[in-house]
Amino acid sequence: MILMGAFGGYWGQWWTGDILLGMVAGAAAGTSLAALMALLSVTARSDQIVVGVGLNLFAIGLTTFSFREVFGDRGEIVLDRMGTMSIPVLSALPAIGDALFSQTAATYATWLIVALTWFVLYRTSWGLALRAVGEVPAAADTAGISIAVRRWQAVLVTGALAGLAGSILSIVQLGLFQENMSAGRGFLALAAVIFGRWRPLGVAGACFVFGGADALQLRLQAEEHVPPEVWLFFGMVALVAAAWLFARSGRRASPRALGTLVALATIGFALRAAAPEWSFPAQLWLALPFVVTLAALSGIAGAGAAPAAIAIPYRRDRDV
Amino acid sequence: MTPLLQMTGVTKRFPGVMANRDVTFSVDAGEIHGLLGENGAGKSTLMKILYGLVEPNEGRIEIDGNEARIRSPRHALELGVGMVHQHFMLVPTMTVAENVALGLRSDRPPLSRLRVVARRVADLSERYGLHIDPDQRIADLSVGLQQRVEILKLLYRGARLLVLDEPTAVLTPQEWHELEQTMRSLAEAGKGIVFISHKLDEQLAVADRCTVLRDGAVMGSVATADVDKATLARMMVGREVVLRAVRLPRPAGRPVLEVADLGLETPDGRRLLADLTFSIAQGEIVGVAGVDGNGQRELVEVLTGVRPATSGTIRHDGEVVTGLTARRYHRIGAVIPEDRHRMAIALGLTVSENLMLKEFGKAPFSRRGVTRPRASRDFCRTLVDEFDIRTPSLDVTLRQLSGGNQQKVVVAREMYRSPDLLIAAQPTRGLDVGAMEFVYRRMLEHRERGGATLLVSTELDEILSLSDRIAVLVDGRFVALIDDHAVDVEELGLLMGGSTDKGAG
Repeated sequence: MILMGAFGGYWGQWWTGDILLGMVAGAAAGTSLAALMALLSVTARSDQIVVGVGLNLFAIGLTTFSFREVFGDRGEIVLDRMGTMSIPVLSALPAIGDALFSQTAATYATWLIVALTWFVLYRTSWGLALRAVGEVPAAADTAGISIAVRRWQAVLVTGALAGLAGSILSIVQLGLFQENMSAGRGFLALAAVIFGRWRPLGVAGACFVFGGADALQLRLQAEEHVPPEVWLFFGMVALVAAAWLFARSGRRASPRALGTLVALATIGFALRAAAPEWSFPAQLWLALPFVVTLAALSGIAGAGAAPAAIAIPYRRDRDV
Repeated sequence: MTPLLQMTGVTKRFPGVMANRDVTFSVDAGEIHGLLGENGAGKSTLMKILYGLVEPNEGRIEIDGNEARIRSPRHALELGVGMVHQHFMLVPTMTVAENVALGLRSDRPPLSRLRVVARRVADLSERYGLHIDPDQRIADLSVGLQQRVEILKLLYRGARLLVLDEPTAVLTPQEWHELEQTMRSLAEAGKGIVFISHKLDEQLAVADRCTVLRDGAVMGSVATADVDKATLARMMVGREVVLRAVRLPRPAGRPVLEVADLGLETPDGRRLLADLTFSIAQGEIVGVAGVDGNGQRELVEVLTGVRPATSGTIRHDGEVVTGLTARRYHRIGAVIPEDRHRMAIALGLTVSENLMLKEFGKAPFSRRGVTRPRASRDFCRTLVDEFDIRTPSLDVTLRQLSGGNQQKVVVAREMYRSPDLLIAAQPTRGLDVGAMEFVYRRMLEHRERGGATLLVSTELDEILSLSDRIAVLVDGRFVALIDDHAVDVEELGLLMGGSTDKGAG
């Protein structure tokens, strides 16, 4: 859906010449794929993993094909990107001002969307019903809520948001479209949802961590040698993990796990002190966000609070 | 006085079955009306009709004297009819207030206004003495409290007639007494209550009137003050029912199972079972009494080879079999596990497949790894006849059978070969009196034949009427091992509570 949004947005802006209309087109493209998803998984009750993988491949094929059809002989067209908007006073704050308050309007909009999502989920009847439908659909059904309608609505909204995300990627950030340009970001988003424990604010936090890792890898790719600060950071992380482990399980903590973490921390600090002039291939840095994702998930998983009925089609005859 | 609910001449036909025939049923405001019947007698269908899930072929339903065509559960609720399902319809991760608010329009849409809901829930809870805190999460509540949340949900929606579908199946005795209180206070406040249960004691204890269904038809509607258990049971089953098993005295033979110093510890050192020593002889039933969760499940699992003991020895016919596997156990004995859905049968497989689970790999049912369906079918047909399993065919899945018939499948599979050892855990849990009687009869026949039985049960009546000797399990230890004539229900209850006045005998 992100990919569909990226292409839809790019095409929309190219067609209309307006970036906002481009974003609308992106959201619409995402929604249309979501409608297909809902039709297959909610109405036809297919297995969501199968449908998801299928739609993924479908989106790659469709966008690649359409891109070549429409733009194939025109070469690479770079569209105008969205300008940054500085918020007067706040952007002048030292250290964080520039990073937080000198962004595109789309970035500010994401903040609003996070807040709005939280409000809708936890403060409205619609959100209450939606959460119930995800947890115990039979309970919602007996309370007179239509499971199919709520699930359709949820999938469509998700599609629109994913499409929007894609259009931000293509037209807000880069101004161009490339084949399969979302490159697994949807899976990162999925990881962020799990890492954020299925709560809107947690997910926003998780996105910060992953986004940070992504930004970091971009910087580090540009460095010739590994900056010594990286080692320091590595050591600190290992140390914090060790402390957390000890605080949680006290004397019953496995000595091997503790030992490993302390050893890793020591290696980190030693490398910081030695500051060797090593350089790693760029691919290694590219993998950084995914490594962070894996590490985060293996650490956090289990503490999950996933909706109980996630990915399970609802049948009244079986569940009531 | 116009009854709150009047159902007249209600008939519902399903293909091949008459689920309800000409049923007349009424409930007054302030009345607790018991609905009694064996599994499959038509209680659920009747209530589904009342709740708008099933449409009757004939008949008339009146609420407050006005004819009503109930189209859906939602419509039923608008008319003031609410149902507490046997399986709760609650979202465990949400609070009480959120569950109550679910599906309702708030006073200021689209906001959910949970604070307002919570306040009203607290008011209702206080008025009916339900002791529910609206801000607690459902997952943190006991089953009894969750049931009250279901009742609260209905009260909040203005229900005047509450249908409680088998509400006691999941409750502890203590919770049952609380439910009894709740039902009484609701009735005093003028609510009508339909109480569905196949347990005769409960009907006699709480219902004002009791309507008995058999094969879809009303057998009678009686004031509970005028009848006793035997009468109700006869109405329900249609013949005299032996509620207490009659056990002939017989001399015990040589020991079949001998257990010495059996113990079980978890890897982190918790003791689940300790120092269990006992033996079961031919023709003897040893009952293990105890409150649920005192090691009964673990004892059965260790004896049947599901998990290994951490200390002690088990002998079968004098041969040491400690550490046996479940497969090996099945060669020497039979088992009726306590949770039949998880451990005894596969709900999605057919009757014949379930009957064959222990045999399909052996001759004559299979040759060189290929099964032989005809041999299996003949064998299954004999079992279905012999054990009186009521099923439309051998090819329906077990899910479609009643609990009693599912249990008969288990009993048939385990008992047909006349094993010399039977381990039965809660063999009558969830069964109606007819099926219960069947299981008792089979166990006694096994005893007459000289089979040894270990009966693990929380039902004291069952333990007392069937067992030759009784062991009381508390915290994984036997606090007493006694001859059955030397003890009555009260003493047994005290021992289960941990009192050890009565020494081991």
